[in-house]
Amino acid sequence: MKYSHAIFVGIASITLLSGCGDRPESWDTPAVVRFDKGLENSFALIDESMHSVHLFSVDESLNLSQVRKNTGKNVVAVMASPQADRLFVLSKGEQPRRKSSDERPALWVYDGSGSGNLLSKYTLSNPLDSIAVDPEGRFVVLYSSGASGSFVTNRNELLVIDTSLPPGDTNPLPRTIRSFGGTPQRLTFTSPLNLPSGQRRLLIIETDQDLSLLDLDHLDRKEVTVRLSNDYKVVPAGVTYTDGVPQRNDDARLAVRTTKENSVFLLTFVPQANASAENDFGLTVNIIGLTSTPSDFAFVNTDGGLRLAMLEAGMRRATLVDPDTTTETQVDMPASFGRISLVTREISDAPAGGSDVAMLWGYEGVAFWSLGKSVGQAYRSIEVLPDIDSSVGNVVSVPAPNQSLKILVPNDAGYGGRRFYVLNLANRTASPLLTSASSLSLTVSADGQRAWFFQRNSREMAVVDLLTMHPQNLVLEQPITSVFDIGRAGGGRAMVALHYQGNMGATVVDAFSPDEASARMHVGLLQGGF
Amino acid sequence: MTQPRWLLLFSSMIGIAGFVGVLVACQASDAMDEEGSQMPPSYPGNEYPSLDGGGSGGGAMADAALPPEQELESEYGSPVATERYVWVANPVSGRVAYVDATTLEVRTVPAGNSPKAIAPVPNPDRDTAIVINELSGDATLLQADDAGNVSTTTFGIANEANSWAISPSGRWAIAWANADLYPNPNPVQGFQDISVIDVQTEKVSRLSIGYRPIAFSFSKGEERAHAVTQDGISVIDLLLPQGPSVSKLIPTSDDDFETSDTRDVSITPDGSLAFVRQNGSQDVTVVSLTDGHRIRVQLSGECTDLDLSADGTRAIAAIRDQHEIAILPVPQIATAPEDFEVVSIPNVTVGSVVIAAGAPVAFGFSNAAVEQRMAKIRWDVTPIRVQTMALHSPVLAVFLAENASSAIVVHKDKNSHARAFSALTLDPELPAKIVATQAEVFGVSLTPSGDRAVVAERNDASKIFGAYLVRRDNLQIDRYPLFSPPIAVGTVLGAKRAFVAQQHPEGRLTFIDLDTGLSRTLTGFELAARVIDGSQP
Repeated sequence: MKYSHAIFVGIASITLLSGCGDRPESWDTPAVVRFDKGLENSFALIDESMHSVHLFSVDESLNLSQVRKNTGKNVVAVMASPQADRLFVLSKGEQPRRKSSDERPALWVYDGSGSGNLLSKYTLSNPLDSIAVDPEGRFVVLYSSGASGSFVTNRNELLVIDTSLPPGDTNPLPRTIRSFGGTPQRLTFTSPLNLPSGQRRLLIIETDQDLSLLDLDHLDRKEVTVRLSNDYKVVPAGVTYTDGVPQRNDDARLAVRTTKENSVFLLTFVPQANASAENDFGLTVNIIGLTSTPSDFAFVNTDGGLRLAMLEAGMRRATLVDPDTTTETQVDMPASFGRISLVTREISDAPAGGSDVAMLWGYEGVAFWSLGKSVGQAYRSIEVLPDIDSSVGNVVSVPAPNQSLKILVPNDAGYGGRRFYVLNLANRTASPLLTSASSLSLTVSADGQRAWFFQRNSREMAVVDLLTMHPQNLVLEQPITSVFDIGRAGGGRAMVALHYQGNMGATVVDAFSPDEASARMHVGLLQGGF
Repeated sequence: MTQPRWLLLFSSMIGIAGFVGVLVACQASDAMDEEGSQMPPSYPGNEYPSLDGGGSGGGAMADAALPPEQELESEYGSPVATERYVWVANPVSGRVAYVDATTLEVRTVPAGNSPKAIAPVPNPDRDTAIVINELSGDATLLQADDAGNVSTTTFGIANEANSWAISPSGRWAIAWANADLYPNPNPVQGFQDISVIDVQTEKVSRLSIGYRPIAFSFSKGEERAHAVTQDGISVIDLLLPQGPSVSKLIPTSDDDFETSDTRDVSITPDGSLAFVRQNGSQDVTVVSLTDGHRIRVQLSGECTDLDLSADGTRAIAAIRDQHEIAILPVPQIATAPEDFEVVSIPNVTVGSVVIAAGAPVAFGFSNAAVEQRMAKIRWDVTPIRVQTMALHSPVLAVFLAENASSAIVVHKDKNSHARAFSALTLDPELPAKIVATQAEVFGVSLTPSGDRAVVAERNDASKIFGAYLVRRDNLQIDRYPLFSPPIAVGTVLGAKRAFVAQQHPEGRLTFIDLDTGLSRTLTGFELAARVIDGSQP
């Protein structure tokens, strides 16, 4: 392993300069880093002591180039855009503000491609501490988790920022959703839905007792609230939605499951019947009965048409519900799964006629559910992967071109908890991999070629070539906190393992030919901007 | 069988909604046990045949040992449907949901505080229903226009009202208090206040009638209403210039102190005569509601049941111990009490009689005996034709289509649980098709033409709920699982759909297309009202 030459020069310089006159404030201020983030071609560290964002890129020689940018005081949240091309930093600013020059709360948006330029700064009137980012990257919604410590907090106020537009009088746009006592718990941005009045994107706001919908294409309109019960005892636990048949504009639907109810709320978007209402879509609500609380659900295309597929925890069956009629079809399962993910696009043998294939996973292994046979020949629709006999706690998708791969991460407490699998949906094989780690963290490269496994605060890590399944183990010199796989300037990719030691360090490895011997160890990343 | 309470209430509804919806208050239903509803007498020591036909099936039980016949049909509740809509009241929200049975669109309309008892009101122009708001002491008349918008009119009514009597034309709606619906009422609670609403003029008259009314009926021209009470029959003149008024009380017995709670009273459709039967008595008293004159008709044995034909021309009395039925001509029997026909039915114990609403056909059976047979009686031929029909399990209750083309027979098992039913095609006559249910039969509804029937089942302990669609022509029977307990069944003929109302905090209705058999469940009627556009107040 090679140490960065600049670091040695730096240390020598420190020795020489320490006794010479004034020095920058940063020299005497220890770095405080709570947030790091991997981006498309760089990674970011937030030094809160200096109120700065440091964006590092890697060159062909595995050297680091650093850009330092100012950011807000009292950073509370940091997120990357879905394409990892931008960095969002949410700061509270100076609280309380005593002078007009005291910094206000703000959302800072930086370029993540390597330049680190500040793209936008959206100033807020009140500090907020939570961010929800639109999967399409356009909108950011800021809200309060309730832990801001402010004297008065309106937890139902959402600040909607259209990041495609510069800051302005209506950007951010504050929106307080009508509340019947609940507060937002989860936000979901829909993809475009073909509603009776046209194509719309919606923000679905799950509170702890009801549901609100905000038209992202008409942010000037009030939200639509669906009170799920009169007694406020119904607590949403998740949503799923469908646009329905592409040619139709009357079959977009939204389903809501709850924490305790043996039922699912089914909302259908219909033309607005109330001429005085602001929103140009209406909703009809139905409730689908089950025998227990659903653990997961998804809209699926079957040989019988669109269905809502629901799994119930501990039940060896799935239920398919026709959203038009609420007619239910029960499909016996060989095991209890609990979770469902659609994998139609990732497999090579998708059923003809547009039916979906779902991957069932969770408590008792993994199975594939061919929904092209789910109504007529339900008994032939399940294919269990016999090699996976353990409980699967998480499924990690792999980007293109290896999107047919899924990495199955076991539940630590489950049987075979130290075994994970790389599942190939194309041929429906599962490659088991063993690890000696008691808990695993995982980073999948954006090019879909590799997966990096590591255990936090351990020096051991491994990279698995997702084409050959060849694992290569690496032992770094410092405990690992985070791992990023980023693009290098001039081509290629690099693995960066962050070490929260001293003034931050990083080990940089050529991602295409990982080797400890050729790794570059960089220390003192936040060495006062020297 | 005396004119059952449900029939008096139902007579108008059948004409409006075109259905016969009935609920079996399952004797073995755990939920009913818990709710403390009326339970049938137990049968200690009796061994009942199992459903596989292991019992005697004969009529050889000692008649003296038989308990009284059970009026199970009278326990049946009423689905509330009009030509186009199914109406459901939600006492918690104070709203009434109305479901368009054709489009299955659900809308709600505010009523008063705690709307509960709801009834359809005949109206040729607009779907109309009326609901009692128990806590606000008023009633709301709901009238839907062609666009489906409902207008409401509120009437102040007497407290304690929990039931409706609606005249066949829909002009009169009487809100009254049924003591049976109150748990353990105090004897000093007379429930004698009624409210007579003239729907036409929107005026309400508060009146007092006899102690604890049981049922109401209307005279043919709706000049009078009759309230059957434990004191006798209160006659209400409806068309007086000053408004409705109670004109007299007609005793139903010579003995003013006679126990009246075992008395069954049936009133002829034209309101001219009342037939009074009492358990243990072999007499039937015919009371003129015009002048109060009473005539005693003496039968050959105890009259265990008495039913009036829908056209009011016959009263059929079951004389169980003698294996006979007596067919009393109406109104002639009121002047010639000895002149009636007796038909012997030696091989069937006939303790109860069920008459088709639109055909001269009745079924005779006993749910006190353990018999796998019943008698079909046709009285429009000479001599009266009696035909014994073989079944495969003892009879608990019989539901006959209006035109007598089909029937549903609910069977009891050895524990008197209603765990099977038979579908009967009577025109042409085919062998009964028996179906073992997964839970106790809870409700039965037949279309007037008898071509379809819906049977609901319910067992709260095992959480098994379902409904069966019966097709008469091929006796195809399909089961539909339900996810919540059924509480009412019925059909909306205008939409060619049956519905099964279910117990659910948000309200639940399952509609079954009578032609295609496709089902659709609507749940959460109130949710539509809870979708709130933020721009609305």
